[in-house]
Amino acid sequence: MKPVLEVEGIHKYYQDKKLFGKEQSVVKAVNGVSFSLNKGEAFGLVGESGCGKSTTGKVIAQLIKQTSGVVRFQGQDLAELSAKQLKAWRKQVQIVFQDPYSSLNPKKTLEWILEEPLIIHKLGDKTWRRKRVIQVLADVGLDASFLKRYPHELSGGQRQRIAIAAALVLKPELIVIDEGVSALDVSVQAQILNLLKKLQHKYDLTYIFISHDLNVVQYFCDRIAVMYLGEIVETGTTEDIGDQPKHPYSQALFSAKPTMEGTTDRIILKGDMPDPAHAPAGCPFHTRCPLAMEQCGHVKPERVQMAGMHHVSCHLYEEGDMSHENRRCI
Amino acid sequence: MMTKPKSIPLFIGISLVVTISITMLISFFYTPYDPNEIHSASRLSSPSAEHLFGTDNFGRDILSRIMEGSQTAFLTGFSAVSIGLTVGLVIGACAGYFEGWLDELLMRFVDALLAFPGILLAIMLVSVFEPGMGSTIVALGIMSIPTFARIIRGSIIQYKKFDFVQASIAKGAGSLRIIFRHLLPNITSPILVAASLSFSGSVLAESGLSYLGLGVQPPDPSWGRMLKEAQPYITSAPWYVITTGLVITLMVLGFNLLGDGIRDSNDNRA
Repeated sequence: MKPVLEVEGIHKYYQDKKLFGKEQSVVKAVNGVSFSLNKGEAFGLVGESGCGKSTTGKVIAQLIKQTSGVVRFQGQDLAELSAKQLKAWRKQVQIVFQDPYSSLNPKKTLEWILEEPLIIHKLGDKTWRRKRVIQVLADVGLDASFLKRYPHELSGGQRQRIAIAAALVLKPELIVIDEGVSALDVSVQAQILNLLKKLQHKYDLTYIFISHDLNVVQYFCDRIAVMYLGEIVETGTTEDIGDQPKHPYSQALFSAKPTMEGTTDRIILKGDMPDPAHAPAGCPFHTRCPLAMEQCGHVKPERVQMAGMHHVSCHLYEEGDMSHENRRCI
Repeated sequence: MMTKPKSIPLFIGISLVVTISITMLISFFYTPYDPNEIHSASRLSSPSAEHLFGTDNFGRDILSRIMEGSQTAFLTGFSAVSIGLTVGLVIGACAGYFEGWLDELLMRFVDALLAFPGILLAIMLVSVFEPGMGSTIVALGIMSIPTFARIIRGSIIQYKKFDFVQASIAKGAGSLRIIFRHLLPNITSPILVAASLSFSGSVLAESGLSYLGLGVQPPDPSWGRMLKEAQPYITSAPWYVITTGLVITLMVLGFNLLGDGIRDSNDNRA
């Protein structure tokens, strides 16, 4: 089956240029990220703050242009689209943001907010659009009485439902959910996650789910990619990574996950993530890796395949090296 | 927002502006005397029941002339704000939304305008073209461009980062839709404040120009020129200067308080 989305080696660099000064340092927000998504998948991007997961999401939604690399949607390279084609393409990919308090225009009614995407793409007439808006409201569990209300009259969970409805109204193929439930109460999080799952079946959706919350990602996603300092260090199915994280960073990350039993043998990483403006040479993680070897400091690890779809970028592992025991950090 | 003033300054501001506006409207239909009618018999008579604000050196009723002059004040203020707001909106919105070299270019132009003393610009314009209401309005309009451009640019940059704008771009909205439907409705408050302050500034500047004889020319009545005419009689007929000056002060104070009040009762429901 042809993948819905292919991301090949995207880089996003921010250059701090002064008007008359010489070129300043380069911040490598995303540094060579590749993955592909099949239809109907829920793909999780996890990592700590500043690792480039949101930037990756915005590049996929083409809210920012990548410095280099290719984003292909249903086989079509997005860089080749004209401005007009890009506008039409936007129907198919939507993005839902973290903060439900800033993701809805405070001066507009919910009806206006939900109808706008249809007006932008000149779909249907007034009565059809109204029907569609009411239908999509029902899909997210709200009724027509909300139409004339303003965002400030709604709770956080209701706002997030509206943000999802506004994304759904165009019947997209792919929705990027950028920390979509992180700002909500735990009980509301569960409601929204279940709603997203229900909608996935109804609308045949593919999700990219960006989050720092491992429990949420493990619950929601079929596949997970772990990002560190602008790079994907490990990808695999939720079971692969959740049960058998290979990369020392993933191991540390997943060991810190709170569980019902309380956390046991947590791996405590020393220091902070390096400044992305001065990323270390070699493996991005070697400055904090408890298992760092001599070569890690100057040779960038290749991506190697473990079992099935499980890939990891680490010098501890070799291609097809199935026999390797899971190397624990401690 | 307007129905229930929360602060005393806003209340005073609204009262002053409304009172002066009503007086201005009344002057279209009624003034106690013909503002230009000369009574040499009653020159410089002090305030009385007959002439509430007294009469000037030609025996004209000062109250009637102030009422008539309010039309000029409002017309210049309103037109200058309209010019400044329109041009400032275009410059500010383009600079703030597109940023980059266009922003750099437009804002340096605005900086240049800002660095140039406003009253000097007005004097220059008025002396190149002929003095009168038209050139005064244009000069005052140009003077108020930088304020609007900077405020609108700043607000647009601030709101552009909001997720609802990004979400709308992701839905395919074009630049014009983003600017007019998403950004401007959210920045009406700072624009209103700027408009109100700029209005009072223009009224004051018009009075200043007219005082120098460069603004509105006779026979159009003007507060600034009335002040100039009153100057020689400042000791013999102090009411002439005091009433005229007081009205200018109250007008400027009213619009300033109104602007401050709007800013304080910022109605941004998040």
